[in-house]
Amino acid sequence: MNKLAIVTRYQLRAARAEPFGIIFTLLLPLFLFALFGLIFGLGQNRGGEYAKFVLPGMIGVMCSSDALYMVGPMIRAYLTQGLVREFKNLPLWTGHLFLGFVATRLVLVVISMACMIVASAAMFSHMPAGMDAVRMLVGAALTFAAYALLAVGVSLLVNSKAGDYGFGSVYYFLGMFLCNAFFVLPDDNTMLYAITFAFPLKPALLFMRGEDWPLAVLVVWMLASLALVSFALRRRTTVRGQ
Amino acid sequence: MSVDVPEALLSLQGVGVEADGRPILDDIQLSIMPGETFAIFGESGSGKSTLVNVIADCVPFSGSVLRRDDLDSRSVGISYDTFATFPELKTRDIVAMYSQLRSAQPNREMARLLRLDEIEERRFQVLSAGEKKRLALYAALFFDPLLAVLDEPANGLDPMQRKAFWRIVEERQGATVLVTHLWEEALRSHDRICLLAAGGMLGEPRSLSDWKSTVPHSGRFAWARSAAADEVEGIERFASVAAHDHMYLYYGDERERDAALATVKRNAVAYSESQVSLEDVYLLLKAGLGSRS
Repeated sequence: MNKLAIVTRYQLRAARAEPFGIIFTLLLPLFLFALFGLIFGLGQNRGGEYAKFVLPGMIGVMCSSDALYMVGPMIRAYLTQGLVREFKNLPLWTGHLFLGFVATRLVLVVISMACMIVASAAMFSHMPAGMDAVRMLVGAALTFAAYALLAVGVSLLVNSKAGDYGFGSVYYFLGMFLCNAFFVLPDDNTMLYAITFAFPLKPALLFMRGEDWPLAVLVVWMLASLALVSFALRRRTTVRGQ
Repeated sequence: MSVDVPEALLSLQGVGVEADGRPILDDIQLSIMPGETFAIFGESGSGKSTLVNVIADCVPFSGSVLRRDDLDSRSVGISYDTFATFPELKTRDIVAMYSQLRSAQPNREMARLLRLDEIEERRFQVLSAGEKKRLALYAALFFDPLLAVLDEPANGLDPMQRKAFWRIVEERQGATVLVTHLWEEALRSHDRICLLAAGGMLGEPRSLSDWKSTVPHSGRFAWARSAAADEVEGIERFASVAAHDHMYLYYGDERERDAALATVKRNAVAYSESQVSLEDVYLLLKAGLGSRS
C-alpha cells in the first residue's frame, strides 16, 4: 500500500478516536447551519434564499475553525513532541506525516460539507449545483489552506498551546462576525470593509458567492502565510532532544 | 565521492554539535562494526542523546558521518529516550502501522517477550512510561535491523522486562548501540564501550577489560576529613566521588602505591585495595587523571 495512504489511514483512525474533534468538525457546523437557517430564513421561500447565503458562510467558517484549532497546534505538536523525528527514521518521506494529517482533516471537512449540503437540500430546498458547487469546493479548499498555513506559522512562532488557542479564538470569532458569514454587515463604512480583508474568510466567501476578483486576494493570503511558515521554521532553534 | 570506509557500518569522524554557541559534542570519532554491541556511556548532560540525533541525522553537525551503502532508514532502527506516535492509536494499531510502513511482518515472538499482547487494546496516551518504552523497543527492533540505536533502553522497565530486553539484544545478528547513563547497562555490553563526558570522548572506545587496564591498581579508603584533606589533595593520582567520606586512590605500580599509601595511611580510618570498576575509570579520566591513550 502507498505509504501516504497508510499514514492517512492511521491518522484518520486516530482522529476518529477523538470525539471532541469529530463533534467540533462534523456536528457543530451542521447544527449551526440548521439553527441559523431556521431562525433567519423564516418566511423566505422556506429559508432557501438564506440557505443559499449562509451555506458558503458556514462552510468557510468550518474550514477556518478546523484549520486554526486543529492543524496549527497539531503540526507544532508533531514538531515539538518528537513525531517528526520518529518518522524520519522510517522508510518514507517525512512530508507524508503532514500530508496525511491535512488529508485527514480534508476528509472530515468534505464529510461535513456534504452533510450541510444534504441538510440544505432537505430542510431549505437549496442544493448548490454546477458552477456554484465548484466554487464552493475550491473556496473551501483555499480557505482551509490559507488558514492552515497561517495557523502553522503562528503556532511555530508563539510556541505555546495557550498562545495558539488565544490567537485562534480571537482571529476566528472576529473573522466569523466581520466577514458576512451568517449576516450582512453594511459595507458603506470603507474602513470596516477594508479591515475585513485581514481575514482570508472574506475573499473566500466573496468567491464562493460568485465574484472572481477575490481569488487573487486569496492567492496573496496563501503566499503571505507560506512566507510566515518559512520564516517561523527558519527561526526555530535546534532544541535538544527533539 | 568515493570514501574509504573499511567494513564499519557507521563511522563518525570529527563530529561536533553546537547549540546557542555552546558545544554539545566535540570531535567525536567512532565506528560501529557489523554485529557488535556498542555502549555509549555518559552521565546526564554529557551529549549522549545529541549523539543519537547525529546518527539519526536529526540535528545539524560539523564533521562527517559515513554510512555503509546498505545502511539507510530501511535497515536502521532507532529508539529515542522518549517514543512519539499518534497518541489516540491503540498498541495493536501502532504495531500494525509500523509493520506496514516498514513492509515487514509483525514479530510475534518479540511482541510476546515485551508483553505487548497485554496492552494491545490500550491507547498509547494511557500507557505507562515502561509500556511506552516496550513499544518503542519493539518498533526499533522488530524488523531485525542491521543497526539498532537504543537511547536509555531500560528506562522504566522492571527487572523481568529488562531480562527480556537483554535476551532480545543478545540474540540479535545486527549491531546494537546502547546509549545509557546506567553503569549496569554499559557493563552488559559485550564488545566496546565509549565513555562520554561534557560532549567529548574519554579516549578511544574499547572493551571493559581494556578500559580497566588503563588503571592497573586502585584502592579506596575512608579518612578523617579535617586531618587528611590537605595531604590527600596533594596526591597526584587521586580522584574523589561525591560521597563525603569515601575516596578513591589510583596508582600505576607498586612504587606509586607505597608512596600514596604513606601519605594517607597516617589519617586513613580504613583502607582496602579493590578491583577497578568502569565507574572508577570514568571518574579518573573525567578528572583528567588517567591515561586516555
